[in-house]
This record gives sequence, C-alpha cells and structure tokens, in this order.
Amino acid sequence: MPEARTVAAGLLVAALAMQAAFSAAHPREWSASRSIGEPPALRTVSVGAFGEQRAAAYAMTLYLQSFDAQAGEQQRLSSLDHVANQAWLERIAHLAPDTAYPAFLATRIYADSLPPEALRRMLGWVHERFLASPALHWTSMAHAVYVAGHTLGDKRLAATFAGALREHGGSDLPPWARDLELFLLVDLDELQAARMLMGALVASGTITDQREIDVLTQRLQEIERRQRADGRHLPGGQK
Amino acid sequence: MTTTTLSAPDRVANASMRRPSMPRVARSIARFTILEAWRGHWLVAALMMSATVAGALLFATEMALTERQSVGIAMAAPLARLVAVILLATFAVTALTRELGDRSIELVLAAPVPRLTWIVGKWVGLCCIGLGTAAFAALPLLLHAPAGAVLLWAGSLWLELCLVAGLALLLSISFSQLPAALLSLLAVYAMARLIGVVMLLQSRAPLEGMAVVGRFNDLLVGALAHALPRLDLFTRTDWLLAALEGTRAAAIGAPVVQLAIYVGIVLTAGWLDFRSRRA
Repeated sequence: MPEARTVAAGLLVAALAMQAAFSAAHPREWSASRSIGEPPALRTVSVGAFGEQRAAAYAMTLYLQSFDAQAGEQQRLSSLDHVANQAWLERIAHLAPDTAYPAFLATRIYADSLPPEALRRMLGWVHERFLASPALHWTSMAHAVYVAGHTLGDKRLAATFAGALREHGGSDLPPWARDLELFLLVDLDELQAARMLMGALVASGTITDQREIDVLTQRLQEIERRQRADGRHLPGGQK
Repeated sequence: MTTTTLSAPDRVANASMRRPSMPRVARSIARFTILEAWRGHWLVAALMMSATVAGALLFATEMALTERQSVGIAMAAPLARLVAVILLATFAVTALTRELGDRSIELVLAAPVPRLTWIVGKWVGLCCIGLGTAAFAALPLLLHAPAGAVLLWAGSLWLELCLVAGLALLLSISFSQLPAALLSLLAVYAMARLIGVVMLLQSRAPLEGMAVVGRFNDLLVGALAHALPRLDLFTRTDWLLAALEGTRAAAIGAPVVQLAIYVGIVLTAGWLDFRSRRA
C-alpha cells in the first residue's frame, strides 16, 4: 500500500495537470482593437498613481507604444486611431512636462503612418512642445523639419520649423541643427535627408542610447524598402 | 565611621526594588524585536522585494525606446517605496498584535519596566528593520541612478518607514487585532499619500449649488490634510530623475523635521492609550 505522502504527491501532480488542461481549454479572449480609446482622466491617473505623475506618464507611454502589438500580432500603425493616439500623447505630456518621450513617439514612430492632415496637426503639436521647452524638444523639432519636408512634402512648413529651431533653440543647439534651413535648400531625397539627420545626431553625440539608434536605423531601412518598392512600379516596368 | 552591611534577604529585596536603566531595557526590547523579525523570515521577504523591484526596473527599461534609464527608475522607485512600506507594516503589526493579543506582554509589564520604555524599544527595533528594508528596496535602483541620489532616496525611505513604524505601534495598541490594525495603517498611509491630490482636485472642481456641503467638505479635507503626515515630502522619485537628468537638487530637511514631529505625536498617543488600557 503506498504511503500517504506518495498519494498526496500524486494528487498534487494530477491537480496541476488538470489546472494546465483547464487553462488550455479556455483560451484568453484577445481581440485586436484599432482604437486605444480616450486617455484616462487626469484626476483618475493622479489618484491611481498615488500622485506619482511621472511614473503614470511613463506607464501610459509604454501602453500606448505597445498598443499596435495585440492578440499576438503586430498591427499596421496606419490602421490605428490616430486621433486617440494624439489625445494620449497630449495627456502624457500634460502629466509629465519634463519628458520628451511623447514628442519622440510623435516624430519617430507615428509620423510616417499618419494621413497628411493628421500629420500636420501632430507636427503643430510638436512645434508647440518645442516652443514651451526648447532644450528638451529640439531633437524632435529637427525630426519635425525632416518629416514636414519629406514625408509631408511641405517645404514651407519645414522652413518655418527650421526657422523656429534656429531662433528658439538656444546656445546649446549644435551648429548643424542651427543650419537646418540650409539643408532644405539642397535637393536631397528622403533617404539622403534621413541619413544626414541621423548621422548628425549620432556624430554630435546627441544620441548615445543604442535603443534610440536602433529605432532610427529601423526607420532608415523602412525608407529604403519603400523606395525599392516604389522603384518596382516605375513607369516602363523597370525592376 | 561605620558601614552598614545588608543581610542577604535585604539585598534581594533592594535589588528587586531597583529598576533597570531605561536605555538598557529599551535596547533589549529593540534587540528582541529585530530577532523576532529575523526569525519571521524578514530577510527572505526583503530579498523577494529587491528581486521584484529589479524585475520591474529591467522590464520597463527594456520596453522603453528612449529615456530608458528614466523610464526604469520612474516605474521601479514608486513600486519599491510602496512594497517597502507594506513589508514593514506587515511585520510590525503582526509582531505587535501577537504580543498584545497572546498576553506575552504581561510578562514584560510585570517587570519594573515603564510602558514608555517598551514603546520606545519597540519603535527603535522597528526602525532598525526599516533601515534594512530601505536598503534592500533601494539596491536595484543603483542599476540606473547615481549612488548619491539613491543614498538620499533610501535615507528618506528609511525616515518614512520610521514614521510608518510609529503609526503601526499606535494602531496596534489601539486595535490589538491584526486585520483592523493593518488595514487602518494602510488606510492612513494611503490617505496621507493622496490627500494632496484630493485637495488639488477639490480646488479645481468646487461643488456648485451645495455651498454648505462644499464648505463642510473643505473643512474636513483641510483638517485631515493638517493632521496627516506630509508623506508627499518623502522619498520622491523626482530626486532620482533629477540626478539622472542633471536638473534639480533634492532637499531632505523637511522629511527629517516631519519625522521628528510626527513620531512625537504617535508615540505619545500610543503611550497614553497603552497606559489607560492596561493600567
């Protein structure tokens, strides 16, 4: 006759196996959603985070940033609700004015996927953030110049942004960023301009974080892929 | 000149009349409190807290695309603070209510030990446990934040834990039961952390058309805000972020003064309650 201890161990193993089988038989209901919805109210966030506004802002940022990866699949950024996304960015910036993360997401992550009017609104918001805190947001403003000039194709808006960068950037602004208006006069294509901007940011030591460099590199590769794809559809059927 | 020699029974009677010195007894009670926490696997709990904080820090850092160190610190530091408070509160209230509930305290009180000595000894012991808890909570933050800023933050957390220990003593003596004492302690702590936000929200959203209720509400919240400890001045994540981003300097003077005042309040209140209940 087996010992009571052995019986108990056998029962425990059987119960654990039943738990695993039960969990597997009831898959979690994940359904991909296109819209992140309205951001939570400021008072809700403040109370929920015990007054730790910066922590709450970063938690919201990470949630927003990860929203395109749902239900085990990566959604296209262009398919997301960009109005709700911008509302979240604005709420995050309101919660933690000392962080440049929302402007980073706006110019480096979402800018490429927005329709022209939404992109114009987003860039206008980045411009406002820059004017409110130039030292914190000048790199996002430099990206906004590039996005306005190449993604949006509005050279006049890009020149306005470049002028604001020169005028309000302060004494800490590197020379290349001060002269960004000149770059607009040179007829560069999107990839060349993106390479130049990234090269300047890295060479001047403005960006040292490897993850941030990875984000920019990935973006360069996307532009390259897009240009190659565009090349396959050139008139005359060249591939 | 004559010398008076006492007989053996007189010497015993004299010794029993003599009270042991207060600091020595308080030290013994403090040592026993630390020993009890040690036997209650405090170290294991503290290590688990450190691992949880480190995990949260690394996870948040890994998720972030920019400002990675700031994101990690901003997410991990408030968690470390909260877990450290819950850990100390649980150990303190469990030990105190057990001692008060199973009457083992009667043995201590039967000896010629002033009740204030017992309270001070317990508080000092809990403060020592708080020091270790603060150190274990702050340790993972060294992965990203400068050592000086982490030391300042941990020092402030220790002061906060000393204040929580004082509150735990008062509430354990008042309620004597574990659930009531622990829940009331956590409620007081949460209220002290949130009262600033509540006041801010109230000032931004006045109740219209309910002037009397609104005024009463203002008075109540105002009274609470002045009675509760100013925990918003303690252990601020901003200090770590400022050191990381090189923006502002921290100030620890206010927490020290707040601790001195509030510990005076809670220990005196606890002493009075203890005297009246067990006289």
